[in-house]
Amino acid sequence: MSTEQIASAKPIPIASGAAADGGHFAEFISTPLLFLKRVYEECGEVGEFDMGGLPTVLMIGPDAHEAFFRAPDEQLNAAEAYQMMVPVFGEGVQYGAEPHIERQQLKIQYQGLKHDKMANYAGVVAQEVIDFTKDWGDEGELDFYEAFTSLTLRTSTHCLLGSQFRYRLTDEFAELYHDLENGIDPSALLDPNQQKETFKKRDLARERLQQLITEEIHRRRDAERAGAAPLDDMLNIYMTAQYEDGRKLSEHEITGLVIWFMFAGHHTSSNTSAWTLVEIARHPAYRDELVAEIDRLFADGQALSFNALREIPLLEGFIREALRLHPPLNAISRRVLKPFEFKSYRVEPGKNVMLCPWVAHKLPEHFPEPERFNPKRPAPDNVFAAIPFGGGRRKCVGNAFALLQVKAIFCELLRHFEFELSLTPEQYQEIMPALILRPSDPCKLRYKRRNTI
Amino acid sequence: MGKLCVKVDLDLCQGHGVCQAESPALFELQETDAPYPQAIVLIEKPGEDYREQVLRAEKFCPNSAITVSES
Repeated sequence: MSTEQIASAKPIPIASGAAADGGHFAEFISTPLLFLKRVYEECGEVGEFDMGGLPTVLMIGPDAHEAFFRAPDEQLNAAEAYQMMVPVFGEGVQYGAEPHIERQQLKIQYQGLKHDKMANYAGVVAQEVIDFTKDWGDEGELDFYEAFTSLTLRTSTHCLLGSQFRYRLTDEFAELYHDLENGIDPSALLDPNQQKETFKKRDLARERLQQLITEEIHRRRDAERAGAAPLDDMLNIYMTAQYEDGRKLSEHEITGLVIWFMFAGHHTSSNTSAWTLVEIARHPAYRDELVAEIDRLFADGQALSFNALREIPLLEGFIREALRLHPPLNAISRRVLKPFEFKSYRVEPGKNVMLCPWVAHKLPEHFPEPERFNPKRPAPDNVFAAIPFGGGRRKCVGNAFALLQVKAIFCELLRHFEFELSLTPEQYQEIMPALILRPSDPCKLRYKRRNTI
Repeated sequence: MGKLCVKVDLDLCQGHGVCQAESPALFELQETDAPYPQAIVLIEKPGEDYREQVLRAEKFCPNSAITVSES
């Protein structure tokens, strides 16, 4: 870009309503999605607001998303924007590590998501669903936000960290994990290390998790010394992995990688499952077609296979629409390190740029009748229009696993059960208490075993 | 039917390997500077015999990184 062009950059529109103290931070915290929608409606494709002293530029629409995702890390930097995750994963892990270390850690994480590993995961998820529902009886009512939180903790752990780790999962593990999750509080955006009860609990939880994981590592090393074969799971990959300089991962780093893996794969999948179920129950007109699609999968008496799960368009449509209308993560951020130009705008270093899938997924030019849930909606023409998993080089590398997991859960559930809303359709609201969009409390639905209907 | 032309957008590819599984003759995962391997197109203009597999690779790529056009 020439200096003439830079000099003629258009000023970025600024959102109204900034408070003298804290700018738009209070509004962002109390109603983040409505606030970002307002910024878009006022400013258009590019609009700036004040995140408690940090100028933040919201960019909405496929062109803006594409420019954002194609920018190199040296220009739009993820680590600088996500420092609130450092106390959760630990210093020296992911965004708390030097870029060349983070890259090698990501490479280690990737081992669990390879295509050849995926083929085994469908069966593992199916078995977890069978175990999970075995005491449900013929009919009943459950809070499915809670149910999916618990189920996906089991399925993610089982697939990604192996059966031994999974069957050692205790209530204590779930509680510690919960304390870590609560540590991702919006106020962490400003300072993740301030004195606060939730942050104290977060740090204690991480310490205790490290203790538990270290004990497990020692147990395994003892077993291997006694002649046992190493287990084929992620923990073993972490235990044997080496950095390029030959150094092995410390127990602190292994714990961080476990938490990172769990965080990336768990709450996003559990929320997507909860929304998918709510939408299935909200749209009974598709029930027969959906059940027929699932029953065809099992018609040959075979177990659920990876390839079969790729060809279930209506269920996939439900999941994709749930991700479009209720995307779990809605403040995809980067810190500008080098001037970033988009169309005739220029964003200066030191500011943040942000994308918001919840706002962008409702642009009528890419999603006609955007508020309507339509599981048969064709995919948008532009690959950057729908971004529930982010995009570009930093796209959630577990996206294929997430879709596989949610599909496998629903194939098993819909094979045996029918679901109905317990509340009126409007009572299932969107709430966002910890920077993750989820259904409101309670999220109750009734179920009935199909063969008893 | 025109001549097929296959491209992989390396800003989007994260090495899921679906394309290589569908069509090992056309795609190969190679180590790059990225934290994951990336798909390299071995034959950019494959013959008609590959039509079905290359379209499956395009359809099932989790990152929509593959474009198949016809000239």
